[in-house]
Amino acid sequence: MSGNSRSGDAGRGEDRPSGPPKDPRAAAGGPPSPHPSPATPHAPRVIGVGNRLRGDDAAGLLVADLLKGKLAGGGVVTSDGDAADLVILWEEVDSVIVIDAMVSGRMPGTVVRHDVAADPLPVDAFAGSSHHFGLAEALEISRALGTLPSRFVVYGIEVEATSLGTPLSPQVVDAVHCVVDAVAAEVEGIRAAASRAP
Amino acid sequence: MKTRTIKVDQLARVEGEGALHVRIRNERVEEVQLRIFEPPRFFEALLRGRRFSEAPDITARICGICPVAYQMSAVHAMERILGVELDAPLRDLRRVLYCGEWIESHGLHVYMLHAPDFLGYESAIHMAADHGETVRMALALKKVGNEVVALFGGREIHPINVCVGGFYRLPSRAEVAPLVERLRWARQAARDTVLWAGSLPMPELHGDYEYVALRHPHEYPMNEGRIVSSRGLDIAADEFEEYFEEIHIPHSNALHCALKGRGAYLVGPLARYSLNFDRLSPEIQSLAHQAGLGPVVTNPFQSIVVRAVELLHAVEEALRILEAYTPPAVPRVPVTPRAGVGRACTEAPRGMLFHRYQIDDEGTIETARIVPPTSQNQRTIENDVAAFVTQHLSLPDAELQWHCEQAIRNYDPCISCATHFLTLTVERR
Repeated sequence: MSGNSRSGDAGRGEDRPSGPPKDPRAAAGGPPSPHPSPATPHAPRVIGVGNRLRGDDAAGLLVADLLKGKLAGGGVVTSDGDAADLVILWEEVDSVIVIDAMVSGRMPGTVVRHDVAADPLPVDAFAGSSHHFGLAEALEISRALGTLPSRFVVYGIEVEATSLGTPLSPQVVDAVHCVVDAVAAEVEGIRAAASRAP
Repeated sequence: MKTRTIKVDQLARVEGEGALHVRIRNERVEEVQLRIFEPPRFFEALLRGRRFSEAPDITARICGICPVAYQMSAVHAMERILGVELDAPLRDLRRVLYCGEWIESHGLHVYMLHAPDFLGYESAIHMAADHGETVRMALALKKVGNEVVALFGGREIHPINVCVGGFYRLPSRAEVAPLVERLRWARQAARDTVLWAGSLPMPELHGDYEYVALRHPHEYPMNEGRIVSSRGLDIAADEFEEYFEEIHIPHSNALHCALKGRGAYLVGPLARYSLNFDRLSPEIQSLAHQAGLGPVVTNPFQSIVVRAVELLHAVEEALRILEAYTPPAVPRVPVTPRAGVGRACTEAPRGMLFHRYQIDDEGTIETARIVPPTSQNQRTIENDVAAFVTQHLSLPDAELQWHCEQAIRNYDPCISCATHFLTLTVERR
């Protein structure tokens, strides 16, 4: 996939708002709901973070795109990583899985799973993308406000090239597919455990 | 001879990333360079060969913070080529969408990016621990802006509902009603924000700027108006390229924009406010006075108060239009491509944003030119940092670096718009 072809997708094949509102609450005149709630009880909200125009920085978004077709019941969203929007995106859920690009000095395509409910995310590793005031800061703002979801996992995918228009690295593409499988399994596990709970 | 160097590798809390390099020799500021690394013309190249109708969606991708501004300048320029003029209801709704972006952007900058500087916190994270309610209000205000953009832009990030000729779809009255309620809450929150920002301890720094902004016969400028300056410039947006020039600077991949024969100038909230104070409502003018602002503001640190004033204006303007909302009979007017050149300026949250397109008779884009606000302000930012460092040479390097970053944040530079990735070095020899 070339950078130009990805960039050229801007505006094409988008979900144009030409029909009736899709959110039934909005149709009923209720409060607007820009952030979809997980449609299945006890399902974590899955958030893919990144920038589609910046090579490997799109990794988190691609994981989310693939999971949307794989996970029944919804709850998968994307974000460009703005800290305030992330805080808003997870403020009303108790379980979150985020997938983002990472720059930690590891081999490109390396995947690291962080359980950040207890420990801070290494800021440096998640500051190398184009959304600088982003995920790590959002996590800590939520922690300070007491709104950090009790279960919070971040999958970091080590990137190689994030310049405008660069293609995805083959190692990162492989990692995207691995993370899709890992997150899908994790979500199914959480759902199964929730359904067994009294 | 002694040269002092201070290195800062990243400019925190500036949208996008970039670098500032300051060199001090013998206790004199010798050089200030704002460096921007990435290819600035990526999107102009990308637009060539695409359909005229794709410009709003493609340019919306340039920046996650101000996509509406890019869409607005793009559609206005295209509509000038095609001879399309929107009637009042559709024009008003574009203004509402723009208000949503101003609310998002100013709400974020005032509280999350700029306020920590005044309150002595390293970042919003540290501020949140002590000022939880303030940060919660900031997030709630941002959320209202997001909701406006989501409803009229189709989604919050990189909106897709704007087209040449109008909108793809417009919401029903029932969809708008809850947003009006949220905006009523935001109006009070924004009023409180103005007074709160006015109460912050304010460093003294006064610049002798040539302010440049749009000016409209009746409105506080957003989508249209003549280009005016505090030193007598008064031209149509079509004349932008006759009066402004972009200069390639060796240390930066971005182009610096300057007024021909006059040099640096400033766009953005300070310029907009100072050139259009009389276009604010009497109530907002009065509140601005209470917050310590005169009709002209020359202290860049007071930009936090000016942004709060503009936040309130955006909320009130959106409310004014949406309280009387009835969906227009049609969401857009038909457009037919024809060859021509079109130019437009609109007021992005960070300042005037110029677009120029040339299309052929089938509607294919032949050339595109985009001059974002940050590249227009780059020279002034450098000048301000030099003035600030000169005043504070005795400070230790770490503290001086901190002040440099603050001086840059005064302009809310969206490096993402000019290009991406900024790091900062301050050097003393």
